[in-house]
Amino acid sequence: MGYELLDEGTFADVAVKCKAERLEDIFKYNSEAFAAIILDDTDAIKGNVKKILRVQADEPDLLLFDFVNELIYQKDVNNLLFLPGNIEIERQDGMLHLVASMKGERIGKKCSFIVDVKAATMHELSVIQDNEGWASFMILDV
Amino acid sequence: MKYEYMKQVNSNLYEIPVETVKGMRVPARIYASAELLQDMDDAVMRQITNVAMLPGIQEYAFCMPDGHSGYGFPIGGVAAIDIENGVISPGGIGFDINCGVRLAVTNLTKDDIKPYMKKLMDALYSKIPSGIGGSGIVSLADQKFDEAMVKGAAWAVANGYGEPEDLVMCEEKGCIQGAEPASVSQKARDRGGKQLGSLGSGNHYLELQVVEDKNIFNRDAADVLGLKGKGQVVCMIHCGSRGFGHQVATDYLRKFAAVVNSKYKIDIPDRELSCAPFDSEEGRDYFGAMNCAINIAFLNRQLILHRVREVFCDILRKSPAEIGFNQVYDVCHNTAKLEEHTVNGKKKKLIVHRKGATRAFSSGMEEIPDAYAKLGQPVLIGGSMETGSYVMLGKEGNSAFYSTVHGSGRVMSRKQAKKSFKGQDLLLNMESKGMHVRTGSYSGLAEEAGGAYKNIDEVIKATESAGLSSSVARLVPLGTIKG
Repeated sequence: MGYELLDEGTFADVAVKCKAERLEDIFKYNSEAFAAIILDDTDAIKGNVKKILRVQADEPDLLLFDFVNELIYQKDVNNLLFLPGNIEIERQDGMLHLVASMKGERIGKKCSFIVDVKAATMHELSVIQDNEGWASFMILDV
Repeated sequence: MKYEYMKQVNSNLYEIPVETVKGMRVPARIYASAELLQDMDDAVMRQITNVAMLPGIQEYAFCMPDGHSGYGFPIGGVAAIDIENGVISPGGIGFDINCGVRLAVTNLTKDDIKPYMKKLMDALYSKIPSGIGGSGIVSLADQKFDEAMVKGAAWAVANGYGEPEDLVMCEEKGCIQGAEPASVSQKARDRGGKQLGSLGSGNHYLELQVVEDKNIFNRDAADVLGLKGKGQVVCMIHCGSRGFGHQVATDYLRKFAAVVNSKYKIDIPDRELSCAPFDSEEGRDYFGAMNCAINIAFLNRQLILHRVREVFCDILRKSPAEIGFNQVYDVCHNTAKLEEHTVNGKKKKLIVHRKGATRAFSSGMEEIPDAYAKLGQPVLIGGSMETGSYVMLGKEGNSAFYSTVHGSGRVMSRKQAKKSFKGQDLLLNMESKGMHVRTGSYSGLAEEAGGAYKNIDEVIKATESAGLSSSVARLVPLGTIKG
């Protein structure tokens, strides 16, 4: 259970594969992977900035797409990178509603970066449930 | 042959026949030498085959000799699509809309700047925003930002960031028509407004390069382009539309994914190829927003060039005229553009998607600056930071809708590169060879090591042999700034 960074199917970008018992943890691991792709050391995120992120979509894979895009938006617009706190997902009226309490840090010259994440792609994007729990696959454009 | 289903058309061209995979509307053609084909990963073949399934695609789905796997289209993918019965797809352009290359020459030689090299590199690194976070040279919002989306590099020149001549020596004169700010989301405005005039990270760079006599292959053309040799210093800028373009692509990928099948009944093999008819509300909106991003990328490279000029004047205590910082050209390599081409003897208006591929118009075609009319369009090929880059020219008879390569093309994934190279060792090795490097990330530097890319000379040789474009000069790196 957790995340793995892969180079399957793409030379130029980074693929993230996650496994978890609960759907909520798929989002937790993807947000940890997101920070690890960008930062040399995610311990640089001390959690000084708290923020609640909300996204909604009708399918789990699109919910993940929108969630990662929200992380990208926060990075570009507010210079914030996050590690996950509590994440809750509820299904209401046919839609999945995600509420994530995130612990963030304002990034700057003091941080040691690897590479920027520009976008989440839909290439082979999947969030599926099987007998062992949940699994996701997503390629990020870097 | 590496792939049983593939047939060899000639020594630099391979074809995946239309019957290979159900759903292909045209064959796929891969330009490559036998060695380059061997290095291409299997995903390139899957991805170019998927491109061949797009409604309205004409003749062939093409992959250039620097092709490598990406998402949706492979990098190096080209698809010309009929605008009357075909589609437009953000996956055929990429997230970094109008990522491209700009080249400017100087009157200076490497010996002239040798005593100032450290100061120059330090100043360029500190004055040109790069990497993650931070701001650009200019910050825009509201009406002014809308104006910049429509005017592109012309906005920069009108506001004192450049010379009118810069616009002449630029694809689309730095300002593509058809930009519609009303089609751009607030999120794209939020992400892009403060990043104008910044390099970004990944494979983007600003590089001082040297032109040596031995590396000039077409002296007459080089003279016209201002490439003099004798250790002349030139400056290459590789970047795109930054978060603005990324968000435009994301917004419309999400919108197209919702309608491609439910509304337009188009079956696609990969959601990244989500599309809408070019002549539809969604198609028109994306085209208008994408053109805004094309202009923002032109503006971005214009602002950076202007800042480079300022730094040179400041450090060398010379006037712009003494330095002679003239722009050679500026090319796009992630776009979809309306072009007229002849298909089966008939002229057709096509939306030509090029993702990691450069337009390469030949002499006599429209859109080429008067000074280059007899030469053909300059094509700027950014190689890896350790090897070199090329200036080429568009060539008559190019049968890939006048498209050519955009760079070296990766031969190693980022993860493999980090396992194979150490950023600090790489930096020391480059400096021992007289190259200057400034970077915010050793890991990022390792991912961009020369060994992670194909041999640029092999790529150029295959490109010339295939008749896609012709070489003018090879540029050797002297100082590199990586985000």
